[in-house]
Amino acid sequence: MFSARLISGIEAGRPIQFTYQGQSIQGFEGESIASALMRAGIIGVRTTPRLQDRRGYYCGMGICWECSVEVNGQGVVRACSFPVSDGLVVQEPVAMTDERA
Amino acid sequence: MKQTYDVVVIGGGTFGLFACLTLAASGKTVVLIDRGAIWIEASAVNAGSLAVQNKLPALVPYTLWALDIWRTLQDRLGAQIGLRHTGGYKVALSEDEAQRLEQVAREQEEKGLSVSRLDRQALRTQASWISAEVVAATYSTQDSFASPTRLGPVLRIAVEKAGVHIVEHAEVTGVRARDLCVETTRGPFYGRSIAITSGAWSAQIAAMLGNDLPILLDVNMVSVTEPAPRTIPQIVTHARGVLTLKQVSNGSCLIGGGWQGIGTLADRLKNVDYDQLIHNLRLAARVIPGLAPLNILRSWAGYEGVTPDSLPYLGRLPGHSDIYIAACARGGFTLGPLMGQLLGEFIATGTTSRPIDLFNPGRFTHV
Ligand SMILES: Cc1cc2nc3c(=O)[nH]c(=O)nc-3n(C[C@H](O)[C@H](O)[C@H](O)COP(=O)(O)OP(=O)(O)OC[C@H]3O[C@@H](n4cnc5c(N)ncnc54)[C@H](O)[C@@H]3O)c2cc1C
Repeated sequence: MFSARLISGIEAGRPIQFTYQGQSIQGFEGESIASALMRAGIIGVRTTPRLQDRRGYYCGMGICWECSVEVNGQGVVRACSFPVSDGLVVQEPVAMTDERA
Repeated sequence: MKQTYDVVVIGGGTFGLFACLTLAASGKTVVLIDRGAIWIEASAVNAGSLAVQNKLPALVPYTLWALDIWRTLQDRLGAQIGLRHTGGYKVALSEDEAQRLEQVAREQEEKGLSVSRLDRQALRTQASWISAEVVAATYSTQDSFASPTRLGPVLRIAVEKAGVHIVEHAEVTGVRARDLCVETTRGPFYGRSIAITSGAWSAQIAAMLGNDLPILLDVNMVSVTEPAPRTIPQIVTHARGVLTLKQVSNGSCLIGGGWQGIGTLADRLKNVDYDQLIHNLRLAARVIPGLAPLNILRSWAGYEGVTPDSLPYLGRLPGHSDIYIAACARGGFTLGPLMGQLLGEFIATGTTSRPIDLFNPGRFTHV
């Protein structure tokens, strides 16, 4: 079972509540969506259109787009580089149908 | 032991690979040489537009012939190449542009293209995903697109199957006309004929033979968006040639239009110029407002060689009876299959199934 936690020596910011797929998640101010989701045990954040595989945090620096999620009012963002905020509504991006399938 | 091929082909892009197919089919022994891996330059990184409406009127018949070839490719090569025969809109955002649109449409019609004309109202009903800012558009059923990423590997297999010897990572450093020897970093190759299909670098190869072949360099940029719900069924081009746009099979949109990046053949840079790119992207979102919220996943640039009159070079290199060239068509991905085939025919038989006088490589040579 995967588990992630804040390493010792890090002073977490103010607690923040947001939702992912309707589920309430706690993050800390300054933390990325991907980080907060990982601490909540959520690794796969989206589903690939063709093979229906789960994808999530991979390169961790905004290059690979594997951790794409949809944020209310913002469209698709990279969970690794988008900060959590109070009341943020995070969802899986709308899955695409793929005509090659 | 010295092996002599019927033809030594220099450059493994669209032009070179299609020339190889035709040459091999007519029984010629062929070696294809490339400086890097084949299919990594313009032919691999282009936007995949197969539009007729954004071609010079003189090239319209050639584009239509090329599209005839494109339509057979999937069957001929036995694999998917992402060919989408969608039809396409060419748009104008101002009265000036609308006039230009109309003028070019007439010239293209004289050359055998039929287009229909749409005013703002008609466009709103027919393609509501296009902005109301677009004052006029023409529509052609011929405009299409295909995937350069898919075509490359499929073509390679076909060329190998046809018996062509592919030699990669062999940079041509010299060409001798006397004994038709192509010197490379992996040794010499001898031919009975030599074909220069080296894209933007063709002038460098010609210079090795003492020929001054004018080729200018464009560093075109293309961008790709994140996948989005399918809303753009047709390819879109622009009256001033500054935008091409299509939504490909995974839902991503490819945005091009010949906006210039940064680099030269000498420094080998192909950098994105963000000051230019922003105009490209703003224009795209102006024409198709639904693009605005989408992320750009990646932008890149590639080299396209351009002749002074924007028509390709195709024929014998001036002053040489056994050295040939096919290079530098504006819209060379579209035209490449035809240009390569015509070059192959010319080398193999001395004649071509379509006229090539217009493309005489000596037309800028003043003695
Ligand atoms: C970014 C971009 C977007 C474009 N978009 C479109 C489009 O949407 N539609 C369209 O129709 N056209 C488009 N074009 C134009 C089109 O891609 C080119 O005209 C076409 O691919 C040229 O094919 P080619 O075979 O002549 O050249 P290339 O594909 O560039 O191949 C030339 C080959 O020669 C090799 N070579 C060069 N020098 C040497 C040497 N000294 N020794 C050995 N090998 C050598 C190179 O390594 C290369 O593999 C675009 C071009 C670019 C750059």
